[in-house]
Amino acid sequence: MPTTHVIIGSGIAGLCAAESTRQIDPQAVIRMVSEEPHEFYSRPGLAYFLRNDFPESQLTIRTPEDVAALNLQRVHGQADKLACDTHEIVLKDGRRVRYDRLLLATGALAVPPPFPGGNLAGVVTLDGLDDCRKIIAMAWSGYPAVVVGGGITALELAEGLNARGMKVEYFLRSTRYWADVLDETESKIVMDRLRHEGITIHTETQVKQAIGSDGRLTGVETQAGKHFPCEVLAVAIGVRPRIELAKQAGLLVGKGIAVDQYLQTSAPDVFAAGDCAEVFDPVSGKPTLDVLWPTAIVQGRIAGANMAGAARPYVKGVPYNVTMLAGLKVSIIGAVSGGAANEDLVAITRGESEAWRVVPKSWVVGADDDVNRVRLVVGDCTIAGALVMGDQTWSRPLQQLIIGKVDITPIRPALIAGGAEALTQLAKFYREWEKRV
Amino acid sequence: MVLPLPNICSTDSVPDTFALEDAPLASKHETLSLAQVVPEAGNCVQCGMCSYNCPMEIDVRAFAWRGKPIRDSHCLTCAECVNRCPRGVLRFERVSLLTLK
Ligand SMILES: Cc1cc2nc3c(=O)[nH]c(=O)nc-3n(C[C@H](O)[C@H](O)[C@H](O)COP(=O)(O)OP(=O)(O)OC[C@H]3O[C@@H](n4cnc5c(N)ncnc54)[C@H](O)[C@@H]3O)c2cc1C
Ligand code: SF4
Ligand code: SF4
Repeated sequence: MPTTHVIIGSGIAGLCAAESTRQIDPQAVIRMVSEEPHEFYSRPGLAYFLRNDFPESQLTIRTPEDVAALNLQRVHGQADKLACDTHEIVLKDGRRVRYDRLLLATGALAVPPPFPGGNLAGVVTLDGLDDCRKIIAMAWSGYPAVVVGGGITALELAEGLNARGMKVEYFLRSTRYWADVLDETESKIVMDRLRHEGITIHTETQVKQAIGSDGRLTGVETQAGKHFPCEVLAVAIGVRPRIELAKQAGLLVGKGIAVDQYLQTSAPDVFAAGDCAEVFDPVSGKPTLDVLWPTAIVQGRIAGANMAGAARPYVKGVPYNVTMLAGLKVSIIGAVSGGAANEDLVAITRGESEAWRVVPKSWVVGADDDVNRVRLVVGDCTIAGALVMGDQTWSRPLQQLIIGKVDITPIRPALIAGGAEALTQLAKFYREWEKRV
Repeated sequence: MVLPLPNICSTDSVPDTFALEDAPLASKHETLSLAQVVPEAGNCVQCGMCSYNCPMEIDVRAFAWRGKPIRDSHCLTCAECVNRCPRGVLRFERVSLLTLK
């Protein structure tokens, strides 16, 4: 009898798991349960669809031939209950799906608006394609929109609505953007560019309530009592892993679903991967969340293999992300903390790792003009993290030095002294290191 | 196996990011060396911006997923994909004709 693998979630972790299981076990029955009926698509790509950079069809990441070759049975529906003892999941509509091995790849969802009026039509969050379609349908050119939150998704919403011609008012609770990851100058660079794009930023501004009539949003009132009329209120104050199924079934959970190094949960034959999983981080000694696309890929592949009988350990790597902030490329590698708390978020944001927020002291080693910057977080004998903004020449070398935990003791004083000389020394050091490896 | 060669007619089409100046002048191999687009798969979010903007309709995203250099005889090395990628995944790398066996 072939083994029945059930995967809950059709995101990138679920897809990679299916591909990896299929590679090992051509006979396996693979059922994928998902509430999203869509073809496999790129979630990060939604930002560019929202911005009208390309049509929706461009989001699809697998050809029909690739999908057919996977030989998946897709089940459209929401998993409502997990019964570990009978190895079954129960869907909301009552259908039951039996499993030999189960993968929870349920991802994360935006934290709902915490203020009154959060359920009015016109108040939106961005988690998936359906949200994106809805937002685009509401984004009428020339009309006002308010965006609330920090991190990458908030910016993508602000820039997307702006690109669609809406008059965007962006509210920040604190005095600057993404204060726990970016330093003051980096925040300022991003904020200046957003203003230049035509977005109005209101610092130290909080929503008191969303106001509407007949269930439809008409505006927001701030804590300071100011009123802003708006058609759309987009909220991106963080995400939470979807752990309800696991929790209700009595699995061990923290902020995410707790897994061991083989990505197995506390229940036999049940695995978890991607945004919903909470993996032990040997560096900090704590369980950590990574809400990152590359992490979801790696975890999906490993979980899929292990479900098919392999015993591959997951080793948490150095988290990194290259992203666009206000049209500027920014690489965030390892620990980079911006030195302040982020009041705009109540939870971790998308495209972020908790590991980024830990180290307090850093040195700017190259800031040759308004937008191009390299900031290093220098540890005792290694570079612990880096933020490369603008020109990305340094992104790859720094990724290698940081991920490889390369001993930089000989140039440490030069790095800490900062300035252009630090980069010259680093370049020399890197070239020699590269030759050796 | 015969791999198709990237289609470069003159060094003018080699973008700036490709540091030709580093090459010592004109040994026979180096005159024949070419550029190809190479992905850093780990940074790719499969957004599709590269494929969408490729004038030759090459599915750059599929190469990026596999971490494979774009070896397509239609590639103009125009750098459109390299410049449009929001994640800095793509770059040019020199290939010597001798390694294209
Ligand atoms: C707009 C946006 C921009 C992003 N940008 C970046 C970026 O630049 N860089 C980066 O690294 N990351 C980014 N991310 C985050 C990245 O997309 C995620 O880390 C990644 O998609 C996680 O994959 P996953 O498979 O774990 O979860 P998901 O992709 O969230 O998939 C989970 C799936 O499970 C389904 N599901 C959940 N519960 C159930 C249930 N009970 N029954 C049935 N189905 C269920 C969901 O509907 C969903 O289809 C971005 C995300 C968004 C939304
Ligand atoms: S544009 Fe860049 S990130 Fe997007 S699919 Fe292409 S290579 Fe990947
Ligand atoms: S270099 Fe130009 S032709 Fe070649 S793959 Fe990229 S966009 Fe297409």
